[in-house]
Formats: sequence, C-alpha cells, structure tokens
Amino acid sequence: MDDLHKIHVFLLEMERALPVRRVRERKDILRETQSHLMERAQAGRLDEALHALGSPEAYAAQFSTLGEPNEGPPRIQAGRVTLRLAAAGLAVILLVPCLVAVVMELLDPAGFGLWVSLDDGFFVFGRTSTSNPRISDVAGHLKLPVSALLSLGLLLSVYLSVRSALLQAVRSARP
Amino acid sequence: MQASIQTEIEKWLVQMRKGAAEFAVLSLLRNGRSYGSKLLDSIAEAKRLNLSEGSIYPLLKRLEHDEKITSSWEHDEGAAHPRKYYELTAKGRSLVEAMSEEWQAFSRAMETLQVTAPNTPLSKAG
Repeated sequence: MDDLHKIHVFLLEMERALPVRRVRERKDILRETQSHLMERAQAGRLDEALHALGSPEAYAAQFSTLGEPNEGPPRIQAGRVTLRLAAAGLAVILLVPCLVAVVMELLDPAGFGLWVSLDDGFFVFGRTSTSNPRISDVAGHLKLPVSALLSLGLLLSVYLSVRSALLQAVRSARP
Repeated sequence: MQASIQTEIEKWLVQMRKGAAEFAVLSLLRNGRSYGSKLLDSIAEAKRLNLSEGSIYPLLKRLEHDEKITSSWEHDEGAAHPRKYYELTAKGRSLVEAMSEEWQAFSRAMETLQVTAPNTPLSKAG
C-alpha cells in the first residue's frame, strides 16, 4: 500500500468515527490530519506518524468535546432555550386557528369562509349564513389547502423549536 | 521497589505533561505563528515534554475554540500541500504571559523548597 493510499484509508475511517456534527469543523479536522500525514510522508515518516496517532477511531474520539462551537456562559444558554420555547409557543398560538379552519372547512364548507360585506367592505372570518346575498366568500376553494399547509408548517415549527430547545438544554446540562 | 517508584514517576510525569502541554504550545506561538507538525517537532526537541502526535491537534482545536489562538490555511511556496497556521490572539498572549510569570514563581518556590527541605526539622505533635 503506498503512502497516499494509507492516508486515504486512515482519513476515511477517521471520518466515519469523528464525533463532530458541524460540517465545516469536520472538514477542517480531516484536512489538518491529511496535511500532517502528508508532511510526515514527505519526510519518510508516515508509518511512524500513523503509529503515533493510533487507530483512526481512537484518534477521532479525541475530538469528542472539541468540535462543537463554544456554547457560551450558562445565562446565554438558558436564554437560547427560552427563546426556542417562546418560538414554539408562538407557533402553537398560530396553529390553533389554522387547525380550527381546517376542521370547520371539512365540516361546513359552504358556511365557513373569509366573508366580505358588499355593503361596507368589512371582513369576517368564520361561519355565517350562506343565504345572505350581501356577503361574499373571498377565500373560495383556497381555504382548505392554505389552512392545511399553514397547519403543517406550524406543526413542523413547533416540533423543530421544541427539539432544538431540548437539545440545547441537554448540551447545557453537560459538565 | 525500584519498579514501583518508576511507575509512580511515570504517572506523575503524565500529570505534569498534561498541565504543561497548553503552556508549551502557547509559549512556542509566542515566538511567532506556526503549524502543527512544526510545533510538534519543536516540542519533540524538548524530550521531557513528550507531547504525542495524537494529542497536539485536539489541543490546538481546543485552544482555538477557547479563542486563545486563531488559525488560517496557507499554501507556502514550494510546499506540496496547504498548512494550517496558528497564532496567538490578544487573549492567548495575555494568558501565556501570565502563565510564564506563574511558572517562574512556581519554579522558584520549588527550588527554594528543594534547597531548604533536607534541613527543615519535622514538627512534632503535642
């Protein structure tokens, strides 16, 4: 096996075992390891260098607590958790009317809508009598797909915000 | 007996080297910017430090995360591949200067202790 192949194999195995999530950080660590091994290979000391690093897995494990960004002081970390929970709360507040709109549209598609009064131009969102000729539903057939899409988007936001807050809380709790 | 003392000394040296590694790297960077392999070679010249190739890059990464050093990739003329150069930040420079003062004070204290210890009478209880 020539030197370049040995370096390639080491880096591949190291990459698999590297406990660092950020892509830029992973690339930087691997690039520096490659640079070091090539430096040693040029000096005819590659085998010695590979032996000194140990197995790719053991070497990668040494970056376990080092590859992540500085989380900052506890107050900042607690602030991040609160901000993410607040974002989740806001998404829940917006989600409720969207879900109500979906359900109402399914139960009463003719009576539920975004109504506009033809007399004074006022808008009303909700149920009304469909027999009144002086009002018109401006949302039409878009109500169901729009409210369903908004609901899905907001549900996803709630999930991501809560997940992110929990992950941040777990990271903050680590010694 | 001799083997046991040797083991104890080895353990003690490991602890001392752990504490000294950061100081050694920062001290070398105090003389100017450098890259990993070169830092390793300089440290290897001071045989007692014994910082392994597997330890220096995680250490450099930690120092960088702690904003004691900063880095940039550069392709030197004639080099076959780019190198990651490190240099001290203002925080790192202040730290290594303070460490250096503490180290000297510590060494002086230990030397004083070594000189005076054999003649110091043991205090007796009661």
